Amino acid sequence: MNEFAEYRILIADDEKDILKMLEEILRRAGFVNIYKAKSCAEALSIAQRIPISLYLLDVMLPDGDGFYLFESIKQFSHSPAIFITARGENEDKIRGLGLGADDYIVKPFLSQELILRIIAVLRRTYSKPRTIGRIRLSDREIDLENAVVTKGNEELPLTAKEYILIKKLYENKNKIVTNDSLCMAVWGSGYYGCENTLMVHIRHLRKKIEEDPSKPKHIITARGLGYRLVIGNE
Amino acid sequence: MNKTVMRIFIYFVLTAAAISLILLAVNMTSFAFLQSDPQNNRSKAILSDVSESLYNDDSGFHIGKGIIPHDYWCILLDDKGNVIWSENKPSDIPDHYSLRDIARISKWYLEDYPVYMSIEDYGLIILGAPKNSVGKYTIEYSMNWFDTLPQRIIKIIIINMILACILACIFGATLYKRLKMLLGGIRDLRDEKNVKLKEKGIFKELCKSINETSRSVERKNYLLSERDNARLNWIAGISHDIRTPLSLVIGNAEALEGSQLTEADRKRTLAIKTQGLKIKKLVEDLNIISSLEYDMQPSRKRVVRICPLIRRLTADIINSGLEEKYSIELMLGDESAAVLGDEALLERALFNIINNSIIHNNNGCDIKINEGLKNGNVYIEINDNGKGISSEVIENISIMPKTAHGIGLPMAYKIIKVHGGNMEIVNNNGAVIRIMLRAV
Repeated sequence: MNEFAEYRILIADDEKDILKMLEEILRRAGFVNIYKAKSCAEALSIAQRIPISLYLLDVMLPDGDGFYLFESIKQFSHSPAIFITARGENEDKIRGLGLGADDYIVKPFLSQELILRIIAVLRRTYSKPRTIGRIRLSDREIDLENAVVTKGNEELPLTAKEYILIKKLYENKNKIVTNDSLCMAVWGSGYYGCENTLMVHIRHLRKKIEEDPSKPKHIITARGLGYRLVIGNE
Repeated sequence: MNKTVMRIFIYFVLTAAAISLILLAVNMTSFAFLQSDPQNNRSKAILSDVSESLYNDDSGFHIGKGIIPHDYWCILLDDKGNVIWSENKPSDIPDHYSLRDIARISKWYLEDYPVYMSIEDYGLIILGAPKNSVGKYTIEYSMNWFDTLPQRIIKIIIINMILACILACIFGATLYKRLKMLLGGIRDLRDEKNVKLKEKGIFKELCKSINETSRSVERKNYLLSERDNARLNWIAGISHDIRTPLSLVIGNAEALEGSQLTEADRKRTLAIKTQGLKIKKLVEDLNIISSLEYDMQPSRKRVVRICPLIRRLTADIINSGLEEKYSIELMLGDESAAVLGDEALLERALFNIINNSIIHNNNGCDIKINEGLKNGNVYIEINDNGKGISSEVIENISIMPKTAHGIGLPMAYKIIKVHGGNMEIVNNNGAVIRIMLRAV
């Protein structure tokens, strides 16, 4: 089930077989609107004609590199891009260039990994309230769209920081999210020494979402590491 | 001051002092030899011949022919000062002499002729040498002078020695400067720095040789780095080229997995995918190792905070499905600890160490990570209660294995080393790995 099935994805890669394989992977994942380009020029002309939702760009293209292609695209489109690179070292370039790349993936990759990243980027960019909006817990529900926890008829509003924390935990549900990532999400870089404040916010959050905040079932502490949001599959 | 150059300098000064003393002694002796003047002795010999061969008979005084050379003259005075015999007597020599005349000429000259006297029974012989042939000086010394002579000689020697040392120091300073420059040049050569010495002075040839050696070392290093670069680029290129077909292999295997397959074919497909992923890991390792081998320094350095790195790595390992039999406990002592380095490489090193504990302890183990600051260094201690690390691995930790097998710890060691750090492995109820890195 793919809530982004209708979204338009443009793939640019000079390797014909890779292009075909990527298309197949996307089709298997349920995407239906897939556009392919073998060069920067081709990609640019498609992007100008059709409103693309996500760009999947190879870094090395025959008539230029993917970064510059994305630079040109950004002049008329605000859609996100994921770069595909065959070199580990480009990782730094992608981070460093500040080109607004949303993610990157190093060849070779597993199709599942690629799809997860595509969905994550789409979710971040076009977050559909219907799906990300509600987190079902045992006896209550978190409504992210309105930032409230509803328990029967009772409504407990979430503060801005609690909202960011639960969203971050939910994005990585059932996985440990380090204190550093949580602090980074709430306070940005220069967050150092926020662990104690973070603990306070988590305590408040637990009061709102846990049946028994002293024996949390959903926001589990990973000692010395961070927290994990434990929820069953929706 | 430089020790070697100082030693050479002192040796030089002492040698110079010794040489000047030897020369002083030699010269003093030579001077004493010079005191004896053969020319002067000749006059005295003639006088002595004259006094021996002059004889008196009835017809007066006579002397053998040739005893008095033609440029000499000789007169004989009686007690009253009258010339009673003469030979070659020049016309300007008077025939009579008073006591005063005698006293005046006794040590000196008679009408500019240097004269020598001999007192005989029969009178006073005066031998005259040619004009301007002899200089006569009177030397007089007090007895005190003779008494203090040894002390004065010692003083002179000492003053000479000091003077020789001072002069040697002054001249040696130049030598010292040149030597220091030469030594600096040789040191730089050893450190493979670029050496360009001024080719002049006494060490011109030496400077030239050092400069030439430096140039040839530079050339060689350039060729070596060119070769290393070529190799590095080649490896990077190859691994880049492998990644694309490997993507296709893995991608297509995955596509097959999704289709209707017999059990045997499904296993085959899975094997293709698993082996493809293994190749992917090998390619990544190859890249890291080749860049560690040829770049002695991590090329992408920035401030890396250790605690968030350890937390992220641990969370990743747990999130990727760490089995229950393993546990990782963090005891992070100093939140502010940071080092300058390549974050991805450092993460890889720590991952390899933790992963080593996991893969070599199939029955599970508890892994503890300690961290803190000590004497300006960040220390990270990773220990487990597993079966420990074999002594063979510990002994060969600095040697990169020829195959990918057992590459984890040597790679970690190499990464720590290129960061200027230290990694120590011991067994103490399990493996204990201590890492030290300079803190920033």
